[in-house]
Amino acid sequence: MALNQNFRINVPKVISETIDGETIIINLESGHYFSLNHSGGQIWNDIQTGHSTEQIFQLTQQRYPRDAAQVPSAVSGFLAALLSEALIGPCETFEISEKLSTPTAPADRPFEIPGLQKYEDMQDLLLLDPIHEVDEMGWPMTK
Amino acid sequence: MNSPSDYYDTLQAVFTSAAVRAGRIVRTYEVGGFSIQLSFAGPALVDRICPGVEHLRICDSGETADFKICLWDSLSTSTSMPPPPWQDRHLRAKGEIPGLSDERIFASFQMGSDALSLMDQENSTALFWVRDAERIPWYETGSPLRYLLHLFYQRKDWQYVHGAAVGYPEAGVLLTGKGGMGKSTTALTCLFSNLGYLGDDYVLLGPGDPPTVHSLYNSAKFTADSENFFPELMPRIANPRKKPGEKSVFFLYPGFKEKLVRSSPLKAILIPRIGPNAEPRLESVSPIEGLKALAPSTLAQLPKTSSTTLRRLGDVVRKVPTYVLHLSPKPRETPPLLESLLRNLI
Repeated sequence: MALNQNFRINVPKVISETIDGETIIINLESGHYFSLNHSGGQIWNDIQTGHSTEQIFQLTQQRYPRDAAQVPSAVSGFLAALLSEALIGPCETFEISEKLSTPTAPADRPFEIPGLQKYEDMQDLLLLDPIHEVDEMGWPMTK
Repeated sequence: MNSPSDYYDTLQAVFTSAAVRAGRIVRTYEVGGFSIQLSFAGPALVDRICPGVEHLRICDSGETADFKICLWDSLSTSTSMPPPPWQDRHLRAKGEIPGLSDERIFASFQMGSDALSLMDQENSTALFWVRDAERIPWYETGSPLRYLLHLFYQRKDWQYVHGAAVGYPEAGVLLTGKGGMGKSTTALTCLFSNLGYLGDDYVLLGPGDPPTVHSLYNSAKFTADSENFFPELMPRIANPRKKPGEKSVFFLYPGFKEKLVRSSPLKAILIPRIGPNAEPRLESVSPIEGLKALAPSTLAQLPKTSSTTLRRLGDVVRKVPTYVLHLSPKPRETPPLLESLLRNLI
């Protein structure tokens, strides 16, 4: 993952909520939803708050100084997963929201590889437009 | 195409013409302090829309209703409908019609019922049209006007949710999660216990701490597999000649009206899970598990949802505890467990 490639969340079709460090993400178009583990939720929050990819690397290394060597590949893999699920998109006109003037405090838990779990069980509920006929006036008509 | 507001006015005139031709029938209902007036052109839609909400009926409030919906069908009123002002490709998931919606008007076409709904969000009025009332499926009769009720209450910062609810006027629980996990069956077993019934598929959550859960529909739907659990209800089902695969629909009003609870302070969220458990039991889980059960299935079924909808649901799971309800193969063993839970939470 190139450090100069920045990302933004694909709003409004992608929405999320974090409770007690656990995050759920929902793609309103596909009906797929995702849960993030704790470190994944931290990175998601970093993207939401307008941090550059370089800053996200730095922040994650500051949170987990003992595992700093693992961070680049783990974060890159996580960003690639978010990208492949279209939860984030490249941001060409990126404005960094804030500078990292003070280091982030180390996390009070061991580093875990940021992870994304995907759920596809809402496909049946998502009321996609079914194949239908139209009446003589052109109004849709369920078969 | 004319503006969405122009189209709304055009269809309002079509309704007026249909009402003159077939006669106007007015019914008024109340949910959570808001009055909802349904004006029908002729009787054809009354039996398709009203049974599910009849427990909420109040005296007609005249022109002062908080939300007014005009409903008609073309077939019984012999009223022609102008062609749709959109091309077929404009229909999106959940029937949203972007070209026919703007800041004021929200339009959707609900496949299955083949119903067009137009909501005037500024004036809290709406239009509901179908070609043929007889084509409305029974599952829609059980929980009618979902899109419009969701749109109205969303603007009040209330939330229409996919879930069942049971309890007492002093305390209730919300059963949520995807279909087929035992929500409806658990809710129905409460008819044979001390617990009251607020709904088996969709209910309304009002603001507050704790939030309040409100009954919307007095219907219950169950599959052929669940019919064996409720043999005494089978003579009462509304669709005895149902199509293959269609659920049985049963209205609790008026036959079981003493079991219906209008609203309850919400004390817990339960996620039913079917399993080989010797007896039902509760397992406390984190709030995010409650949100994972509640939010995706709610959002997948409603139009015009957004990050605000998810935030509202997040606020609910932060305020009340969430449990997994491990069900046993004997559904009627569940209500005593829920009664015990509610006694501890009141």
